[in-house]
Amino acid sequence: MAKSFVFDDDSYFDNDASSSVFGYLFQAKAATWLFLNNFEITKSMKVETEKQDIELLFKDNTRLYAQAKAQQSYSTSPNSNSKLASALSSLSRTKKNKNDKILYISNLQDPLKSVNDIQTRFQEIAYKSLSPKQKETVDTCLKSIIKKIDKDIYDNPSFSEDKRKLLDCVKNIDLDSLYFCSIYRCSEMGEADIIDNIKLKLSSLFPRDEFNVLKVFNNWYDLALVSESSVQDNSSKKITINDFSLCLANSSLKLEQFDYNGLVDKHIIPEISSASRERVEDLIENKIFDFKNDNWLVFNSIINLYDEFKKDRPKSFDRDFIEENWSQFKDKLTSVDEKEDIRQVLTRYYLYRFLNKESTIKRIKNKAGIDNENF
Amino acid sequence: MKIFKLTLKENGITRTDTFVEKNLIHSTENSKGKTTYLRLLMFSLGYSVPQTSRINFQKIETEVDFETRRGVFKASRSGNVLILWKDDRKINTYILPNEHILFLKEIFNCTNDYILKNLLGVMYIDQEKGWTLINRGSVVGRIKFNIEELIAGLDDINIDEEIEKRNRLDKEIAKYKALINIKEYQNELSSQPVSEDIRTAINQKNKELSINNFRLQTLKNEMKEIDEALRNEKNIIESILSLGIEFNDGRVVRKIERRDIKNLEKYEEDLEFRRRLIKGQIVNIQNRNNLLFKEKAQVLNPDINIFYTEDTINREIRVVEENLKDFDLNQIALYDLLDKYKVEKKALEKAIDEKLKGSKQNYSEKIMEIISKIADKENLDISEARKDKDFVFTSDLKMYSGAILQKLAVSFKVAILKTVEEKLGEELIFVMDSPRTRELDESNSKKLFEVILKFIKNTQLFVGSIYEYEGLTLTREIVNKAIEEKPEDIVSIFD
Repeated sequence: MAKSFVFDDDSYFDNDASSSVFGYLFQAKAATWLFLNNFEITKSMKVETEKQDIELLFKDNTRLYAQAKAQQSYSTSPNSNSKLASALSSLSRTKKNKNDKILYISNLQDPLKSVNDIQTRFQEIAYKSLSPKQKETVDTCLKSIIKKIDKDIYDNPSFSEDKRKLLDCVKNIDLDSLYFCSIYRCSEMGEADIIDNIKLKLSSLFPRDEFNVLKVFNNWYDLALVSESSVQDNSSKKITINDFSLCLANSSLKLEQFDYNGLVDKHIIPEISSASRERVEDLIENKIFDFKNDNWLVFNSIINLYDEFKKDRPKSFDRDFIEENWSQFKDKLTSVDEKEDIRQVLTRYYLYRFLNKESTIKRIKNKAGIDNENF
Repeated sequence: MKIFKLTLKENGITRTDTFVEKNLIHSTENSKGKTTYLRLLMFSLGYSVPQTSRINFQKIETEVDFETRRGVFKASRSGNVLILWKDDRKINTYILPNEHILFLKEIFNCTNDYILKNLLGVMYIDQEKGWTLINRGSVVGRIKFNIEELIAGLDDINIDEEIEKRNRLDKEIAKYKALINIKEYQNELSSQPVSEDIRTAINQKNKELSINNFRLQTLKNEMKEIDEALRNEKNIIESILSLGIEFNDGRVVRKIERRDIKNLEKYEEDLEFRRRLIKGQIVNIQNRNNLLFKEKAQVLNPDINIFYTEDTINREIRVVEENLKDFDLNQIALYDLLDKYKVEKKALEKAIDEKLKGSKQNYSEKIMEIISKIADKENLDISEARKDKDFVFTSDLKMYSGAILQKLAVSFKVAILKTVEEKLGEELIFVMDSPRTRELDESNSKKLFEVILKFIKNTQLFVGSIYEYEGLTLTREIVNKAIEEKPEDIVSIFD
């Protein structure tokens, strides 16, 4: 966990957002958002590093360090000034290279106290592009931090070493690389705004796909949890753009739902008796395919055959491939104990899902530019 | 099987010892490292023997050179990875403990799981278990020996179903014993009154916990399936690579390598990714459960701050006790069920015995014949045992007195060893850790040794002891610990 190196007794300077579950959840949302917002240029991401809450590594090897601050309750009056002060002092201490960015991301509606000015909402806005009013808020905040530290040093000269270091950092904060972003909820009731914005972002990136956004978020969160809890080594904590692409692919609605009627209409699956159909649905619901057929030999033979098929007839559809080849996979994919029509439908369904997953992964990875690169 | 050489490496110290037919691993005092050394010998052959307090086995690298009728081998082990070499060619890599059986299959050319699983009990006598283990129980650590399984293996009889059923019954019996203990504790607990609100709140949390636990179980099963798929893939690929197929890659003719296999990375990436997701979900639910647990504690005692760690244990005990009060257990039914399973187990064991006795090969009789032969030659009075036609399967050894028990045990061990050797067509090794225990005086101990040396002439023997025995060659003197630099004077003995 990122811990501040000064004033453990002073909440102003504590950048440990995970001390509350809410703060941690917000941090995860903020990270997902930043990942998507920089999808095509990002290489990998880390959370809770010793430098900051969120760290993005871009393909040009520059970085973005983000400090996430969340306000939990909307019934209390927002304390945006103290959040801003805390974020700025933390960001000022970030050890960064010249071209790296530092960003304050929050769920506050108005983090810079500037209603009707340039909006930081779901956008990363540079300090130099802020309105004069917003700039003034930031400048005033920096001045008040400096004043407070000065006073602390005066009151407590014997413990002044760390505070002097902090004072230096705040005074020299790199305003040219400072950015602001807010991802806030309109109502207290739900997360609709964040989810909607993520959906919007996804549909502009992948117009052919639809995603279960909550699942994207959950997958991301689960991955971050393992990365955080299992490995001590900082370098292993990262989530790469490749991981994130797989997160997305695994949240594709196409793969999640078994639209039986849809597949029948598209002539991928033939009509069968209602009793057989019930059995098929039952088997699919019980995840009969998810693990039993995780077999490298099957995986390999489908991909090889499909590659050949596409090479010979690039304009053919997946359904043609399934129509022509399902019978040779029947024995590998289904049990002889099932009736013949059930085996056929199950095999076709499996192939359909398999090809869809492969093409979705390929599409997303292409967009992320990680086709042949090794991350 | 003959072991030529054992090399142990720890913290930059490397120790190599070479062996002869009958080896004495000696130290002048006890607790120097004989047990450690003999366990390391078995460790180097892939066994999951427990480490001793002196050494962390996981940090040790071992290398053992040996021969079986399959050829001359070298096995190198580091942590849980065991690599087998034959004539300087790498044959296979085994991930322990799961793939240990594959290693044994390879070196002994034996496909009978029952025999291989019980091999350590045939070859090894641990100091702590000593001679009390004759035909069933733990050999060392969690490695078991079971005479029924071994005989089934020798007789080529399949008792998988029975063994699976017996394991299930053992679990049931353990479960009901535990529940009866809980019931007894429940009766002891004072019934402090708890308000309706608190009860409802606790019930709600319990409900969520049980849903979570169900989900956890499902996830853990999914994880197992993925691991299984990965393992299978690894086996397939390794068997492809081990064929050493050569091909023309456009420039040169070379052996096929892992990177040449198409779609492999893609497949692994998908499975690994799903594995990570599942792991994340597991961590997530576990975190949630911890929180629920703390919240439950807070419901019971609202004055305490859930993030405050003092008194955690006391709080958790209270939560457990509160839950226990709600736990409906019918004591009589529990005893009935326990009895039912005990009776079932007895019947099952009888059925297994019958099945084994009905076998044409009847190795149990062969074992008894050898025991009798040894007794006759050595003038050991084992008439009691002779009367019992199922002596090999006995679970009642208490009827034999101390002195005769020792003799019986030795004859038994030797008989089993010889029988297994005959079946495998391969001499094994025999390892004894500190065979002279308190119950044995010098002359008795000497006599037992003579029996062993006489009847297992061709079996390589390793004995760890502070005494010296005629017929054994000192091949390792332990001065201070199992892995130590070789002192010059010791080297000179062997030069």
